[in-house]
Amino acid sequence: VIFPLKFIEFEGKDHLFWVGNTAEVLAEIKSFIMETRSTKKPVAGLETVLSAKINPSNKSISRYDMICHLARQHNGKIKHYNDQGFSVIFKGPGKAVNCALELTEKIQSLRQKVSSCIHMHEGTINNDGSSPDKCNSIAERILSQSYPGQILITQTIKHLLSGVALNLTKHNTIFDSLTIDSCTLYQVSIDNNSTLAKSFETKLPPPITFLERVLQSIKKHLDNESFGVEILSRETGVSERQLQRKIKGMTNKSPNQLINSVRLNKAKELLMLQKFTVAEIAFKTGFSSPSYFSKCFKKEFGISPTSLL
Amino acid sequence: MRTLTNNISSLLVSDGFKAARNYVGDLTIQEEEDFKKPITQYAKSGNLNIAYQVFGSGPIDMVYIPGWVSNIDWMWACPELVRFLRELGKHARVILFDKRGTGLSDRAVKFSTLEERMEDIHAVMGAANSQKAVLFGHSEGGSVSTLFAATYPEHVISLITFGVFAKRRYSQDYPWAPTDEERQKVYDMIEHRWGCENMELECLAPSKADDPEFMSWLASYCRYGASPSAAMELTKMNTEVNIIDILGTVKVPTLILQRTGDIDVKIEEGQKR
Repeated sequence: VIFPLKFIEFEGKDHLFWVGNTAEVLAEIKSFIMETRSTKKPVAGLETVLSAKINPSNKSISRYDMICHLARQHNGKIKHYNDQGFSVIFKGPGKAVNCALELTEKIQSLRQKVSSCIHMHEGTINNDGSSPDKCNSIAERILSQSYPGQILITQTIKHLLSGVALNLTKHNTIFDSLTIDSCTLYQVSIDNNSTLAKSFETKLPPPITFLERVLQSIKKHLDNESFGVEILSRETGVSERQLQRKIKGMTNKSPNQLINSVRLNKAKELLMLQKFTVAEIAFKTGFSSPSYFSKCFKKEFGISPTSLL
Repeated sequence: MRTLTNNISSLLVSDGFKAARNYVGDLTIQEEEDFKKPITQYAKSGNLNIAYQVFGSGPIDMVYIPGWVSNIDWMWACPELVRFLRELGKHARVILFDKRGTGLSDRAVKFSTLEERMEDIHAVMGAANSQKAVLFGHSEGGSVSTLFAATYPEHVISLITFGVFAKRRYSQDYPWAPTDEERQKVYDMIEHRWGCENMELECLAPSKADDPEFMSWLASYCRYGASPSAAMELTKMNTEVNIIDILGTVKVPTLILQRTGDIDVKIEEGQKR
């Protein structure tokens, strides 16, 4: 289902909507309300997933009870549980982080170790209204890089946690297939001396990782038709063969597939703005012909670009 | 039915006040003379009380999510705002509320996250018995409502934002947001001139800069909305708002309204969505 997005610019300088050209503003609001009907089809919202890896234990029953209890306390729902790990779904990152902090402490008090990660994804709903059990590859990839006792969060989670008194330190960077972009991971720990003011101190920018360099290079050459593995290899300073291997390892895509994905996602963003034609967007995103662009777009998103206009 | 004519002083007399006069442009209200200011009620969000009001007769529900600081009682003291709200009330049952830490809601909050503010919308909708509503978010209220729409699409008919921002801090990939130096000036203003007549609120409503009655109301609205330290906390929180990553996950019809010359929020901020 594609949801309409309308962007209206008014002349004027007022930030308050109730002064200035109020009649025009109201007319737009009214017609939007009248035109828009709420969808009957169930739509799943954004979910925060806490995934954890635990050492196998023969006390799994009491541990299960404890995890259920903690999840409930923070309004979470257990999605999956076995002896090696579990995942819990929340409607917000703050609840998930609080649950993870408590959990880490409790499990440590049992002299066991847990490593957990928190990320966000778009929920999905089956035709019968239930939500499918998704294999969560991003969580698995994050957990494979974590140490026992660690809580790792994605940058999306970090951005939404502003105001929470926690220490967040940069861990490393992985590829996020949801946003087709690099995703920096942060390690969470409780900041006992935190004051709000402290979190506003200017920090030095973290060093740029290899993946970030790759994505920067792809974005820089967005409209360059002849951009490919050769230029990418030159700009990132690694051989083409190494590039293939590294990109595949991080994103599960070949360099050309990654370039295409980044371009098509940008094209989708531009289409949603309703400002350009399909042909203009094709050229802006480095496709030599609109028909080839449409073919790739359909393959990536399952819909034709014209259906977004 | 007749075009209403009254003035601000009568608005403030009692709950059974009459609506405002001095309409500008073609925005006039044709309805009964008496308009009762809605009663204020409280919804529980966790253990906090969130003040809300319900008015209007439209067939669908609309939740208005104010930006920065607000006071749902003192909104009704501004004829321009009253006129706007009453127009909305013809098309929707409108639910107004003050977020935690501001206005008539519990003030004993050190600071709140975007997520907690999002839960306030949930609490108010529950208390007002609204299953699904149009969200109308202004400025930072637009960022909160965007997060709500992405998280709870089942409770949202559509999303309307005015003067919204996705991020409030300059970076290379978001160059239209204020720099730290620019934000520092806002902090200094709050620290030294909060609620005073010279708090430079003209930038929020330049077309009203020469209307002393309006500017005086706006300064008092800030005072009624938050204490100086609460305003400071909120402003610092807003500096840290960043919802860019979730913009693409909003699955409800969306209308983004922005003014080209808005110096508080630049047009590109809305376009980012």
